[in-house]
Amino acid sequence: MIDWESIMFPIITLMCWSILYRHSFLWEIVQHSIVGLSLALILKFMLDFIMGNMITPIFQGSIYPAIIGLTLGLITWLRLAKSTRDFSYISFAIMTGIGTAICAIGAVGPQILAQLNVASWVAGTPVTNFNNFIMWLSTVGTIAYFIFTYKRGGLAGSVFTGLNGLAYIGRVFMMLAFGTTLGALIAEMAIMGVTGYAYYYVKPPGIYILAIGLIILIFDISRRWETFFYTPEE
Amino acid sequence: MGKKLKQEYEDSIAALLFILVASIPMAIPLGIPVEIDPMTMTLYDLIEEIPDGGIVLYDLTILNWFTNFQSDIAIFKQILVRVRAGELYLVIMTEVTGPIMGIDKAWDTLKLGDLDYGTQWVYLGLIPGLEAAEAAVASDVHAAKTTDHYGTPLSELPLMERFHSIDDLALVVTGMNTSPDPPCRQFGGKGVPLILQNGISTIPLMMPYVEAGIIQAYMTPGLQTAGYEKLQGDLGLATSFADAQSTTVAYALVLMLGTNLVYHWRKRQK
Repeated sequence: MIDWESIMFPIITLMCWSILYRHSFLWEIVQHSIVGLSLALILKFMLDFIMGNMITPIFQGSIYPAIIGLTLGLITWLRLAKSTRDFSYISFAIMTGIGTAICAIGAVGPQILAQLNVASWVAGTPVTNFNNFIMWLSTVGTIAYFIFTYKRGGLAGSVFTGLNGLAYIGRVFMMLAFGTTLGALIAEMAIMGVTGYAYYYVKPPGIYILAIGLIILIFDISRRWETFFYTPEE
Repeated sequence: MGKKLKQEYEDSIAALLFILVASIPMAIPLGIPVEIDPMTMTLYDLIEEIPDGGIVLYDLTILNWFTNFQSDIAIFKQILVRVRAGELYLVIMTEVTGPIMGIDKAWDTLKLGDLDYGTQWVYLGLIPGLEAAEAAVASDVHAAKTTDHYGTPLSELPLMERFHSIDDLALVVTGMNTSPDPPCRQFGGKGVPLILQNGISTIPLMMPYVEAGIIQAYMTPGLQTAGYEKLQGDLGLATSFADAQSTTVAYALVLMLGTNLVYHWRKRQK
């Protein structure tokens, strides 16, 4: 039996990687295929869910939850026409409101109270104490950034000047957190991703597909050799 | 002045070298030792210490076969040893469409065919809604979904008669590669241990929850999972990638240093 996965996987990956060399029809094919197939699969999964959890229950007598879900879903389609677009905001408002409420309720314990609950400032090692202080300061500072960032001047500005300083500290913590997270994420995706995909190229049939890809690459490089260079102006 | 390589091709050369650095250790293993992380021991012990008869909820939120999914598979393997022994029961769900695409391959890898479906394990399938789905499952799973992935009503599955809300669970595991906030908000701090399988880059985001006792243990892809596979005595793909990951990390460091030096050297030349 032919192992299509072992054949198709290296071919598709090589087509994706071709963008690292130059924009080609191989890249175009794989780009559009992946986007199209992904959308088709998502649509299929969602239709299955609607059928199994909304349409079928209606016929089985469990009407109200399904009707509410279906109605909210259908209302979002009103934005397809300019004249009815404003009505679609009803669905979005309800779902956003419910989503925010779910997040807020869940956040109180694990995200706010648990983070402010430092067992002791002196009981642990100095490093633990320092870590606890950093966590406390970053939590309070970040909350202050979103709640107490007032413009200078005016009554509110003078009252909350001190809190503005705390909000500034919160902003610094957020910059550090977002920067390190993004940097680490990109490095991780690149390292782990490339490592994983390379796994298929060191054994048959991937190694043969890689060899064909390299021959095509070398041929194209030799054909376009002059275009890789430029002569700097004096 | 002579010809010079266009700068856009410097990126291509760096990427090609990256692929080579990742591929060579795959073909010729370097044998870099794999350590077992203390957090890995915590996770291992946590699963081993779940009381007999406990139900484990596994919430998959990402399909990334070579990275996060390998960690998920390693955790599944440990849980399934106890499921096969009749000690634990497993319920699997997903909130996004991605994992569904890799589920069949994962099931083949884990050899779930020999288990009694409906009694020993249940696959709920897709429950869309991300955090809202997690909240719904935690409060009332039967209201969140009426059938499993294969269309069987939950009321006809014996295992689901014992699972109604998070109070009925012995452990929750969430497989993801993003902010740990949603599962911590919906599953954390409710008296049920929470394990997160998450990206390496999210360790700083998980640490406050670990310190606060919301997350009991976490697993990350790559070297930590390789250590976990070593602990289980069941080597998988993560072990195969361990050498390559070490060399690519070294290459990334050299690249960062090198590009910065070249940048400043070129600036001086001008």
